[in-house]
Amino acid sequence: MTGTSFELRGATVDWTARGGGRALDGIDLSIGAGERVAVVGPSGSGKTTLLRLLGAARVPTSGEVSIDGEHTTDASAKSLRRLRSTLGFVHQDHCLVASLRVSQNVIAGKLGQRGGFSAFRSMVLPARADLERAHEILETLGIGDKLFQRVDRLSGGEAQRVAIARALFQEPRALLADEPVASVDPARSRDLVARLVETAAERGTSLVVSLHDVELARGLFPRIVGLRGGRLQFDGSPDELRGDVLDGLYRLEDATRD
Amino acid sequence: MTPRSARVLELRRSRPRSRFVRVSAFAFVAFGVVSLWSLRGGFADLFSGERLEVLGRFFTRDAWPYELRGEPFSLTGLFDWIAAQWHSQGRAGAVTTLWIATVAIVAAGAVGSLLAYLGARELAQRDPFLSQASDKPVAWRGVTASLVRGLSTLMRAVPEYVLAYLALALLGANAWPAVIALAIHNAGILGRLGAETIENLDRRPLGALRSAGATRPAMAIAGIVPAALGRSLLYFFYRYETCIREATVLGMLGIASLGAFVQEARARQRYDELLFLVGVAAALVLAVDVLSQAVRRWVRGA
Amino acid sequence: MTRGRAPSPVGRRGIVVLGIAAIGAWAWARLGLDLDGLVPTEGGARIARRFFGAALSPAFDYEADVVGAAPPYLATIAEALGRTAIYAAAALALAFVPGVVLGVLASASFWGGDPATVDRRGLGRVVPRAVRATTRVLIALSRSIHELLWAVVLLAAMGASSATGVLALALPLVGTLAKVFSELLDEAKDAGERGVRGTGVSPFGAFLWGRIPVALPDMAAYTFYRFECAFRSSAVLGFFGFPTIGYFLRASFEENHYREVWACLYGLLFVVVVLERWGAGLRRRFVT
Repeated sequence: MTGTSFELRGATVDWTARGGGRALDGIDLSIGAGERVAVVGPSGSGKTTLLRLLGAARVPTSGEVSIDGEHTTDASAKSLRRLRSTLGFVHQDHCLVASLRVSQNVIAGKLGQRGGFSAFRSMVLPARADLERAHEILETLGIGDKLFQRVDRLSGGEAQRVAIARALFQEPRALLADEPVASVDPARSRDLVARLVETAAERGTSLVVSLHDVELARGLFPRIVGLRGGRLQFDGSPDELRGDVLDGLYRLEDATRD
Repeated sequence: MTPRSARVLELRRSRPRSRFVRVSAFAFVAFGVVSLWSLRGGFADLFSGERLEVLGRFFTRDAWPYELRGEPFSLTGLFDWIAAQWHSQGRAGAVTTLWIATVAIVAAGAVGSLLAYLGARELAQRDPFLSQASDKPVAWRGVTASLVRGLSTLMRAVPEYVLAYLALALLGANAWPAVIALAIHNAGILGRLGAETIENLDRRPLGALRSAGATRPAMAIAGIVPAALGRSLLYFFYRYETCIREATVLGMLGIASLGAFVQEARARQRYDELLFLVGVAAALVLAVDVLSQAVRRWVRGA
Repeated sequence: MTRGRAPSPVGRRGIVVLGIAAIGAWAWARLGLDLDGLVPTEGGARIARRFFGAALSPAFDYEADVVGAAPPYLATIAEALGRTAIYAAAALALAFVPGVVLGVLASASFWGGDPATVDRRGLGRVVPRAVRATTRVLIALSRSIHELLWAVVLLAAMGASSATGVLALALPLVGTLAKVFSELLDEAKDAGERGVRGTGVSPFGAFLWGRIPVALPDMAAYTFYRFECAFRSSAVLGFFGFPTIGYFLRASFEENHYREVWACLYGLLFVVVVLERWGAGLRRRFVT
């Protein structure tokens, strides 16, 4: 299985018409199949919006985003959904379905690939194979025993890992994770991101992870993209991201714009 | 069987679940289905020839204004009829209904506030809003709170209609039985909702008041009332809506609200007038609904 | 709303409270109520003495001789309470599915669609609005007519039958359930729905698997609470000739059999209090 490739040309997300600001401003970026990229930048720099564009959860207000050569702006709602079903997305705030069990949340990863009745059955009476696969994934993330817990009884870190498990269960061609370690303690977060990188490398999955922690990004990713105020400020190897370049990215004044 | 499938089975068997919830849900659904099934005869009977005839006559003849029957259809004629009905009975019934519900809900609000204050368990603690989960309430205060809660349960458990029926026999036919019945029932409901609101208030500012030596009444005036007022008003208007609904029908016992006119039209078998009055009742409820929504939004915006 | 900044002493809420007091006083004056009306009439006082005197000795047997063979009194009461519950449950069973359907159609979240393509739809914008508005009108109509008024209309249109009583209870219940369900669905956190949408599922699938489960515990708790209300309404239907507990209560009262009246009242209270405790237990367990 090959990973997904992404191509952004002048991608802009502009909320001024709806009383907001510019979340992204003319981003040019290409990510090859199977590439592993960390996105860093101060909060409000547009990391989440960028990931949402890559995940086909949004289309740009101007410019182009193409996923595996398909332009999302002209794509029908249906082809956007098909694209999404091949992209595993880990949301910053987990976005699990509270009041369902861990198993159902993980198995929900395949809802987009299953139609009608088989989707219904997988949620209500899951097949043994699905449950075992879910357990296997959860076990590698260290929470195999939580398989049948309700997700609203989990800690923040556990919920985060369930969200990752859902994306992995999807067997995606690209894994997009928005601050996947925001609610995990620092000691564990390196472990968890390393696992994501490892899994992606094993399967040839493309991986784009936004991270608050630059050290983490530098230690684990061959390529880092830096955003600031909705613009692409840095794109290169970890070695190039230091000193003045790093200071420029996180300089305090005017760091965010709404 | 692989070790993994054995482990999954074991996890599944030991999954946390509440027998109480499952048994209740099953009992509830089963009872609903069985009940509906047990009344199937009544539903089948609805489609018998005789009933369909009654139904047909109702729609083609009885429901149409008596004074206009046999005449060619005219919209102005219908409007004139509606206006005449409104002046002869609709307005009087609607206005009385409105006043009964209003007096009753204001009384219920006053009594309910007192019940809430006396029934809140937190206020029975030695130091309200400073207590730990394990603390026991002051003995006599705890007993009072339990008694008040029990009383409000009983007050809301009896339907308004039954209360009004009993009160009517004791007090005679005036507006009091309706007012009392609505006030008792709603005071019970507002008392419980109010007690819950008090117990869920932000503990720190109130605890600080207590540490500063405030007595319970002082806490109520300085902290509890201001903090709980917003939510209490939402509940108050929600109950006002239901109060209007109930006040219309209490008239059917012989109290001068809309229901009294409904009952009279029924006795005379004037179903045209009956439908008109039901329409007035619905319009009244809708109007108060819209009004109370507007007030609630306004209060929330404060 | 109850937290944060200190509320000003006379804000909007203060105005509302003063307004309520003033309108209450005005209504009082217009209604011509005076406190003398609270003193029972002479006949009323006699009834009151006997009625409250019987409170502590509810009937366990018929108060007057019964002609012919009749079941034991307590069995009659139990059966009447059972029938009251059956009417309520049948009405709820009848109203539940339409209530869910109308509630879903009336909710804004059901029509939200896919945020990525929401700007594109043309006609797709008009149809949902029309359907939603129609549904809301239906809900308002069904809700605004009291179950007893429904009963009176249905009795006139179809004659007496157990089905008439159940329909009278069910019709307003559809609107009540639908209104609350639509509010609960719209108030449910949308995180789950976003997460499920990310897997490529249709907007309907995201609603079904991402939103409904979140609102479900509250919807179930509310349905149970509505059963308690339906039980009370069902009891009152007895006053209109339906064979629920209200029928027996009224008959006993009219024959001055006050100990029987108390037996009916205690039976009614018992069931309602049990239902309320039961509902509270359920809410504690599944509404987190």
